[in-house]
Amino acid sequence: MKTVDFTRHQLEAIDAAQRHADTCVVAGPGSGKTTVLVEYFRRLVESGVDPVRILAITFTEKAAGNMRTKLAEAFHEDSKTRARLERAWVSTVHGFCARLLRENAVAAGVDPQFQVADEREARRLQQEAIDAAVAALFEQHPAAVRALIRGLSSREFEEAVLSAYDAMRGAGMTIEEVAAMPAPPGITREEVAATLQALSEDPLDLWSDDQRLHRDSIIEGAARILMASTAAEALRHLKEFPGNLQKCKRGTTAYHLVKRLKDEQLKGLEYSLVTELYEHERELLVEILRRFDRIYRERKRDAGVLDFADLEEYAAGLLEGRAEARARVQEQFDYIVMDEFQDTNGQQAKLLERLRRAERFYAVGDINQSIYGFRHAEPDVFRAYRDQASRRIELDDNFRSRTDILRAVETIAEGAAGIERRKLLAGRQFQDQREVCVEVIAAIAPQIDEALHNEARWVARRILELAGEAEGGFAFREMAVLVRNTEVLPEFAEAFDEAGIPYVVNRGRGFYEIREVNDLVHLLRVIANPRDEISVAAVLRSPLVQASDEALLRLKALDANLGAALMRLRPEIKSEFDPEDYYKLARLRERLQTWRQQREHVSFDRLLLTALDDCGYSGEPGSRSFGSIEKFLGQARQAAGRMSLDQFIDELAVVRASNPREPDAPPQDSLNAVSVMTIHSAKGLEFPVVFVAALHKGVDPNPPVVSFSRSRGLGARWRNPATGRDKSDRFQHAIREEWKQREAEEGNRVLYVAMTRAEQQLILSFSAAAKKPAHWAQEIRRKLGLDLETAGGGILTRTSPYGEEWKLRFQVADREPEALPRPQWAEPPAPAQRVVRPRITEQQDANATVTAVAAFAKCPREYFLSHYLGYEGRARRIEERGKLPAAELGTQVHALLAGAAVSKPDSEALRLAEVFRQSPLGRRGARASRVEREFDFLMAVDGLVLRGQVDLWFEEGGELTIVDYKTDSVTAIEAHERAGDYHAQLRLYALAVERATGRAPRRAWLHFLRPDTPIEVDLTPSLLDAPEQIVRDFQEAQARMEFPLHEGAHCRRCEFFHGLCASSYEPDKTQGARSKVLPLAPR
Amino acid sequence: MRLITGPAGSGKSTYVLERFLESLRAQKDSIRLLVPTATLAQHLQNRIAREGFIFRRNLIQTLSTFVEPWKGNRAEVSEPVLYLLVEQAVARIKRPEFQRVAQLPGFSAALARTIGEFSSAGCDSARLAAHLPEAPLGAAFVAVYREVDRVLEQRGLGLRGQTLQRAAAAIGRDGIAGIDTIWLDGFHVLPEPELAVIEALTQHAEVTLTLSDTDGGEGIRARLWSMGFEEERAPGMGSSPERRLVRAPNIEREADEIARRIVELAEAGRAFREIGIIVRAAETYVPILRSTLERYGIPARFYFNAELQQNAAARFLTAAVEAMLGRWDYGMTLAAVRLAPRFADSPALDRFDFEVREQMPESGLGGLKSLAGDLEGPLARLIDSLAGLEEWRMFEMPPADWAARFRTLRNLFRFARPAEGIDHESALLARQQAAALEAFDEAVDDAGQALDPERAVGIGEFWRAVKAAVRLKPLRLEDGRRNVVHVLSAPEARQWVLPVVFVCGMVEKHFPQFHPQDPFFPDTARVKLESAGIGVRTAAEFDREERALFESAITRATEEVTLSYPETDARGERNLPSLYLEDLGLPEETARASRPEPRNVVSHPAPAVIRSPALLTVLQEKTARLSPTGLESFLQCPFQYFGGRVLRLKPAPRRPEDRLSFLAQGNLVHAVLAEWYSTAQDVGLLFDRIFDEYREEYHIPNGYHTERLRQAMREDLERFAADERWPRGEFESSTEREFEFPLNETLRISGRIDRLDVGPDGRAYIIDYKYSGAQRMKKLVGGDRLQAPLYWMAAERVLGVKPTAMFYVRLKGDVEYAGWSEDGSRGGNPVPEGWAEDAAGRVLRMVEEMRQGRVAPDPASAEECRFCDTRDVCRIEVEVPAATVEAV
Ligand code: SF4
Repeated sequence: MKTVDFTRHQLEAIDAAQRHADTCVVAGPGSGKTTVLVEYFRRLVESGVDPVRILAITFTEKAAGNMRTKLAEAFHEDSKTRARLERAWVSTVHGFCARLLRENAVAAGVDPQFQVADEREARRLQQEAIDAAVAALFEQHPAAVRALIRGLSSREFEEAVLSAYDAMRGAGMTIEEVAAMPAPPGITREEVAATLQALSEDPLDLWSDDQRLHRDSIIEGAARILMASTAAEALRHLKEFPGNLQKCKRGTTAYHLVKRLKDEQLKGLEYSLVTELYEHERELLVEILRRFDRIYRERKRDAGVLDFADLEEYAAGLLEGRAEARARVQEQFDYIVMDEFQDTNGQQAKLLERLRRAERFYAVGDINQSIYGFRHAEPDVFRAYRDQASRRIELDDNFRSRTDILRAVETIAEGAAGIERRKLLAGRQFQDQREVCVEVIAAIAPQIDEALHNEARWVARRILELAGEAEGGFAFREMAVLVRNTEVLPEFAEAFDEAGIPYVVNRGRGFYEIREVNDLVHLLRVIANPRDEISVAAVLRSPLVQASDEALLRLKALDANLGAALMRLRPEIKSEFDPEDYYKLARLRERLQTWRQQREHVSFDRLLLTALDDCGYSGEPGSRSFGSIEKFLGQARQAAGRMSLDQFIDELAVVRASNPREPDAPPQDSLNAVSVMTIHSAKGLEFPVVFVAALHKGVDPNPPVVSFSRSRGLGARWRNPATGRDKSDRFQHAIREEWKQREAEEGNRVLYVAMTRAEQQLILSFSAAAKKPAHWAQEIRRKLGLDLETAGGGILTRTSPYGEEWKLRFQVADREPEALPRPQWAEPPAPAQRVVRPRITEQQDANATVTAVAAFAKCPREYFLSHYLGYEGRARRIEERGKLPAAELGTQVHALLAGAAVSKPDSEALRLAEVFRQSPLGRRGARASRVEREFDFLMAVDGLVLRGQVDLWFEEGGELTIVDYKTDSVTAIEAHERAGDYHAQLRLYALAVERATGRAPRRAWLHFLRPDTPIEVDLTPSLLDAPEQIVRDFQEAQARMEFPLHEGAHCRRCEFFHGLCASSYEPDKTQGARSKVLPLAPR
Repeated sequence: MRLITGPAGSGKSTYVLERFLESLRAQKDSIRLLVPTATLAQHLQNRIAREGFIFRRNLIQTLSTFVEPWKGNRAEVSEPVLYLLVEQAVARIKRPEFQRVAQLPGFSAALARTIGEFSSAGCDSARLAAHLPEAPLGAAFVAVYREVDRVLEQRGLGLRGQTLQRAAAAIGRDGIAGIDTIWLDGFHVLPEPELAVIEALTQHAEVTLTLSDTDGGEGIRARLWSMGFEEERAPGMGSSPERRLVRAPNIEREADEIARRIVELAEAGRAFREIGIIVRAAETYVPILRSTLERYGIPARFYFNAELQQNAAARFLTAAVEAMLGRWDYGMTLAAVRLAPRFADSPALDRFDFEVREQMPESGLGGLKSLAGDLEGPLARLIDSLAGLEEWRMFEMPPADWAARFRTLRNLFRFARPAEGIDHESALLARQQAAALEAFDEAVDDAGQALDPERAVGIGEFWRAVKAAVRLKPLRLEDGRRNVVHVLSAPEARQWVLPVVFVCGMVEKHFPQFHPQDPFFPDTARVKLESAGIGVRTAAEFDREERALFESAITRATEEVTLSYPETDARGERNLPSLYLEDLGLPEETARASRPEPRNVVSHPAPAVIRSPALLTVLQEKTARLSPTGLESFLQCPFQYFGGRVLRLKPAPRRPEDRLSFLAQGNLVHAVLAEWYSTAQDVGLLFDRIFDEYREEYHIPNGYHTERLRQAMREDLERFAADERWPRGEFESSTEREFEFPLNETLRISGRIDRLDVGPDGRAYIIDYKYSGAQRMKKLVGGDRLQAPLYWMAAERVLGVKPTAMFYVRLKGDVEYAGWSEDGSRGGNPVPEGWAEDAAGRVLRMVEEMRQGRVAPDPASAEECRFCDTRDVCRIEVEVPAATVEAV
């Protein structure tokens, strides 16, 4: 490892001598915490700790990979430790849990062979499960579910329930715990009654008569609310509550009582009443959760998968359950090192709590960078640990950004809620000076859409300028555009496309809308069923076929269904089409036939690839379309192992409809492109140039119709039947407040994280309609004192809260910038090499049995169907119990005649063996001077290795004789008929015996044993029937995959006759002509 | 007894083969060359046969075939049977430790695997019990193992290790008549049972054994010395191939690069059979290599088993039985029928498929058959043959009889006649189907073997066992082609020597592969077992083995070996290159982007316009009569009009829960209102009736999805009925007024006005219902629409009234009236000057364009594209609203 000059604080942080103390490293942005972590790990190992006994947990896979890489480098020289590192526990929490569970599956109660379901699969299972849960509930309690649907403010509630479920699990809570949570405090009837009491007792000095009357009606109205026997009634009265402050005497006690009553208490009471009114429906929601949970768990179980939350839950459960298991696991790790501790969720915190041994924990984190609250992270866990840890080290030096960037961050973050005030010390030395390294671009227009349009163009322009800077221009890959809300991404994408800026976008949604992906999905649909006209039309118009719209219209004229017309395309109607169109359609038709035959046999990506390669439609590597295609192919490949094409298509339809987050294909580093991504995905990254764009665009902090919070429980938004308006229940109301509060803090930290990604240049940009910036933009304008009134720009000087000056280029843009020339690629990506497919030869098999070759000689087609493919031509019957199958009988007879031991031989087998022994041939064999039985040989003929088994050959008076027994039961006539089928076999045997002995056998016999019929086979064949020639034909047929029919009398005995074989042999017509070789049937 | 040792690739095998050939030349047949796998045996046999020898096949064979005659009559238990027996044993023994996981399929599988491992190490349950190390689950494990041993014995079955040990004893006792020289080559692990056989052999023959330096620990060597083996170093004839290292951006590019290089090699005259690809992480690499090699036209043989349960033939049989058990649920039955090979490209099935989908959920073969069309046709016959399974549900019989019956299940699977001119790949796929049927039969036999032979069971129980067996059954694909690239697993590759070798996936966790600890016996326990002489694998042993596999992989080539790794994994995360690469210190080459030459001439995009006179005539005819909505569609986008109205593209049937589409909802609401206006009645009840009829007719399931839409529609209608802004009694209303009128000689406009209200003063109001959101409503009134003026004209010209106003009524969510009125009444906008004339002019111009063949996509409002039915066809990319919370 190259030596690094550590700062004093860093040295303190990496001091392995202090390892017996709980340590908290507060690491500001760019403070070199990865280096510190790796170094600490390294020093632990150097001080004698076995790497396998250190548990290191990172927040992302990327960080884990990074750490492993650095550790590998650090121990490169030390091969033993390096090898140990392979088993080291350096991973994300999920990686850790998965491994822990795999090794302790039984104790943890999980399937030892579990797979981790990726988000997509988990989502699918969840959707199916919630659907099943609600459907079943509806079937059993239709009225209750109806009431729920009527009651909730949104009829589509499943997604919300699912996200509440996720949150519950992230918090490590069970449904029963949630169900038992009491409603957060709210206004009670008693409080209202007390106010009424006070109001009625008030002397109402200074109130006029009318006003007094109004007071009475107020009391009456409020009393009606309180007296109502049901919540529904109370809500009705509440709606009609007459209180009007205008009609009260201002400035009096009574006035304030009315005000409190009306603005606070009755408003609050509405939440309580709604809670009351929907008590049963809320219970039903819990019941839905329960059932969903059960079904979801069952389905995961059946599929043998765990989702991410399961990993945490079971791991925590393992440590909670048995003291023995906990002790064992705890004992496994001497030290625990944890990164990004502030982003830990409740469940993970629980897990760590049980895992940690006293004074062995080392955590790194920074409250200011805690931005995962919306994903249930609980920064308080970190805060508490930080405040009680034995050692606390603060790393304030920033080794990433230029000083002015840090000053700007300090200025903007000053006093912001949720951010702890901390000075950022610039620790990095830059060779050159940059005059200004912080910029703000404000795009103003009457309408926000227009402003955003302009903002995106200004950002594009700035990117081009920075890329084009004469001295030290930045490469595109050195720049990033970060946004908080992905909604604005299309605008930026469009601007970059216009400007010719290469970029990769973490698109978030809409993957299945991408043109190329759409084409491939539709191709799969056409393969599945071409009656889907939308899909057929989509494929025809895509680059896969590029048929004209005229062709579509013509096809449609041929059949009411476009696909049916395509499938029936025949040369006769060629003239109706434009020749090129016809060619394209016919080609598709032909390919479809193949693909459809193969659709269940090869992985879906192979179908798609043949289609893509057919027309060369796949874009250039590195391009976005190429990336999308590749990513979709990957999905298709994975799916193929799990489901049928129909299922995959269904899944795609469902997935597309639910429009999930699906990032673009992962960017390749080799690509020189601007990264466009959300701030959250930029966490842990750094770029020389960072644009934080669309600063005016926040996120919706409102909880969905059903939501959950660890401290408040399960809330929902309902319909107030009296007003017809939406109203939260008390739970939901409290959650909403909590979310607002969280967003107020977390939002600031998100901005903080975004800005601190920049090394050399930070550009903040926003749009404003009517010069009124929103969200962060407003803050920034305020903190930096920016004037949006006048268009134009200039350099401003600002002072940080620590009194240091910094420079800022500020520009107000009220129109689109002039376009800059499109960038010239410094190094255009090399186009992909087009590879010409090789010539294929010698595709025949290396091995064959003599029986197969003989079958080929009889009829190539029969050989192909039965030997090459292994097809059976006849239906099976249920075997009778205890009856010896024919093949088994043959084996026994052969074994008996070879003199081998046969345990429990069949009586028929014994009889047949005896038939042969008593036959003249059998007796001659017994007397012969040399005998070989069951001669199981291998020999190569013309490169083909043949395997065969000669039943018997013997030498008699210097003459070799071959015998082959047949145990099938035939008539004597049949025996003679069939003998012809075996000529080739015996000739090959003769060849083998000749090669083995150096002498050619003179005679060969087929001996049918049922009945006892020996038939001699002529071994002096014509040239055509020579064994070598048969083998050559055989190999040639295999190489070419051509197996013509050889029709003849044997067809009648063939199992494929009138079935898989097209033979039209008719005994009467062909009699006399023994056989003829037909050419292949016309295509 | 000789022990030939040396590093991987030092020529040990060559040396042995030479000695073997010498004996063969001397016509000796008392020799045997024994190897670990059948592939290797065949490989050697072929090689020797091609050198011109003719010899008995059994001279070269695997160790397990060799010991066959001495194995006795206890058959070796197959993996699925063992699994099923373990499952039963777990259920019988009921250990509390296993209670939570006993039902999980992976649990019994893991248990069976560990039992298998013990057995292979020559350790039966008794021996394990005697040496049981401390492990939390040890005792429970032994209890199950003991039970499995007991049942195996009862059934006349044995585990592999035990079988070998019995054979060793028999050999020791009876000798090996007629054999005096034995070579054993290619063995890398020598567990106890194998050693026992070797020891027995040494008592009767001269035995030579090869062992690589990285193989076999000290214990094994000591054991061999004690048998009288003497070490000889291999002569070192191994070659040192050239080594390269390639880095690719991801596995796809890595596979491309390998393919590209192979094509280059082939061009330079290298035969495919001289090339091998060694894969360690099969799950990741086999699929991509299959796809890629095929793409580049490279014939390859994969020495990997497929999974039977994924095979189409096996899936078909499984689906058929499941469909029967599911009482012929349409979806399940369709899934089976769709897998029938004869129907892969059948228009009849395509039609059937969609018709069935339109009726799902539903069940029963009768209904399906009625949808099959021709009652004598093949499809109907297939359904009839499925019906034959019906009676199976009723039977109870012993497992053996079930097995016999299930072996006839394959009669349902009727092969399609192979196409003429089939290529090798397709032939192999076809062959795989046949192989799958065989394997399925084996699985059936396994199930028959695993269940209690005496007890009659129902199909449910037997089928469960079959499914378990099918799940565990590997599917071997015979591929004997001579000239193919060999794609091998790292263990398989140990026995190969090839001129050119690629080793892919050289990244952390793939190579060396990561082995998590066994859930029953963690490493500490294993170390203790090992020291007690029970050779189960420890972590250290795994490490050693991985290293040995790697050493062997890179020494398989005689001329060049190319290692490669992907920089990022499938999720785009950066991979850590394998630690093994660090030691080699090879310079890195980068993969070159490549792709195969297109097979077809690249075609050019056709202009999106209709020009042919004949087709223009067709358009002329199709546009002779137009409806306002059709015209509006053209106004939005000519292609939308072309796809929706001219081609009338129909999509696949919707899923049951989507059948109540926006369009359907709109139609329903219209129907209800039409009737409601003609007969005064409670709108809610009326809706209920019409809704039920509709539901029936369109097979809309009665689930909660439907329920919420039903509720919404009903509420909307009730709200509308209660709305007092437009008192029904004040007008004479007529509904669904159809009209048609000529706009000029060649164009007629036809349509239907939802409602026409005529007041007592004779003023007429045109009402059009819209069942859509507020957004669209705004557009209706705001934009340059045609519908309103055309209705206006219709009212005047055809319906004989003098319209005063035209209003759209939004019914969804809220009741909203928006439109135009001559006197500004009811909040209407003023009727524009020359409205009708202007519209007529525009219509005529548009129709002119239609008839001139204008069809190219050109959306007036890109936002509307999201709702367009032809959006997938037009190739306009529709932006989808993004997330409102952070996307990560
Ligand atoms: S999606 Fe848009 S462009 Fe495409 S056909 Fe429909 S309206 Fe036209």
